[in-house]
Amino acid sequence: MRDPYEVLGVRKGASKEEIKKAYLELVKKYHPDKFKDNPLRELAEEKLKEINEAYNILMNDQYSNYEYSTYDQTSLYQQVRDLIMQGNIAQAESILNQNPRNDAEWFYLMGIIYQKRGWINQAYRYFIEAYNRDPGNYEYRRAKEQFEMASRNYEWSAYNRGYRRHNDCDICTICQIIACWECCCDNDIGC
Amino acid sequence: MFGYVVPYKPELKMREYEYYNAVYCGVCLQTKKVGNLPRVFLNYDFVFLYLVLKEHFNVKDELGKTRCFVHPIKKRLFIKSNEILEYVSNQMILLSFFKLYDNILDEKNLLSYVPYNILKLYINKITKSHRATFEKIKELFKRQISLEKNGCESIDELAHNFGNILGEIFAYNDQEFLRQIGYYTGVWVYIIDAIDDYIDDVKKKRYNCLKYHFEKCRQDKRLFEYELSILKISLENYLAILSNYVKGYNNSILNNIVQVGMYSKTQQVLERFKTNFFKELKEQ
Repeated sequence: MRDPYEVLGVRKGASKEEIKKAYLELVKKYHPDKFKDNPLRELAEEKLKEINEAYNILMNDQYSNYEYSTYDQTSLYQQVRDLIMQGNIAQAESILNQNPRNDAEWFYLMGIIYQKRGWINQAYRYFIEAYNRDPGNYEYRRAKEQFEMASRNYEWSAYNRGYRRHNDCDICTICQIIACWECCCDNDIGC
Repeated sequence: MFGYVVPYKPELKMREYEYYNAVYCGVCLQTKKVGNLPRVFLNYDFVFLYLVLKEHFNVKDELGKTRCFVHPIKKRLFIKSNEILEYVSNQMILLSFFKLYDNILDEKNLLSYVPYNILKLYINKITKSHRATFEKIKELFKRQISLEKNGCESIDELAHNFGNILGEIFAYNDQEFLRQIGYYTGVWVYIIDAIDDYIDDVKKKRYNCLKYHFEKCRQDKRLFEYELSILKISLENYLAILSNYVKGYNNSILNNIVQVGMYSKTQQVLERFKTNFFKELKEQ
């Protein structure tokens, strides 16, 4: 969805009065009554729907009170994603570091950056954080599980080659076993 | 610091085991040509380096038999000198030099001064041909020391730097593929080493990069398990990447080292850490 400020044609951080005024003007302009028997009718209806949505969002206190609205965030994250796609990891990281947030996507993107760098431990921690903040998100869950899968596959291949845990039987263990045996023989079993 | 990159012996064939030891002897005898002192620092990690390089450049090595003062009775197999063996031995000297350098700065270990100054003489001799690499490694080492001194909290940052050092050492003829193998080996070695030394370091109040993550787990067993599982998964991820790189060589000893040897080492170190953590750090 587009930026609601842009849809209503007002500057960012505009007051409620200004938003309301702009909204009423736009509604008048695109009102369905004006487009009777007009081929542009459908287009106008769509436009009106968009305007209504944008107005509802901006009138909701949650958005107008914050300096950064979610729309800033989505565009910020989009920018970061683009940078990552282009391979410009350093730039992407500095943007994220300048805008510290507490939401899942921030942690997820940070995780991607660290993963690209090969810092797996840190990347995994970020993915876990993203997943914990938003467990329903498929993207975050998959990123986290990928790590667990890789290590499981590796473990499996190691296991398959015959490695069993705790069978490091070197001279020391043999000596220990013999020593224990001797003790037992002397005291209890008496063989 | 090293000695973690080893094969899992029960899984080796007899001839593989003999060949493996022959490489070990080969590196030792090659080093003898430069001087006797660095032979003290010989360890199995450099056998891994030799095996990787040998496969990468498709070198046919020759075996010989000899007696030496460590094994005076029975003649031992060894790899005859070749270009790669020489490189490996030089890198070993280089790394032991830096290790002593680290000891002197880090622990103010006066015992290290004498061998350090002797090694310094050798270094000039062997770094003639690859001065640039030497300077690069030196820079990375200095960075490593300063990171540790400043109490860096990120395991990855330290491990990454150490990985770069090993990457530089592995990258014979500037091969990117080899550098990657070195990098992942280095990262793994650094973290494993940090886990292995953790309890000792805490007792002696030395720096350890895991401190930031494990300090807060002293009272909380569940948090400890959680932190440990993250470490375990990341270590196994590093190994999975490494084993993907090495798989291409189709060498059974290398596969054994990466897939079984390093895996069992990981489990062993983690297991020991887990059992000793609460037991030994109680009074601290």
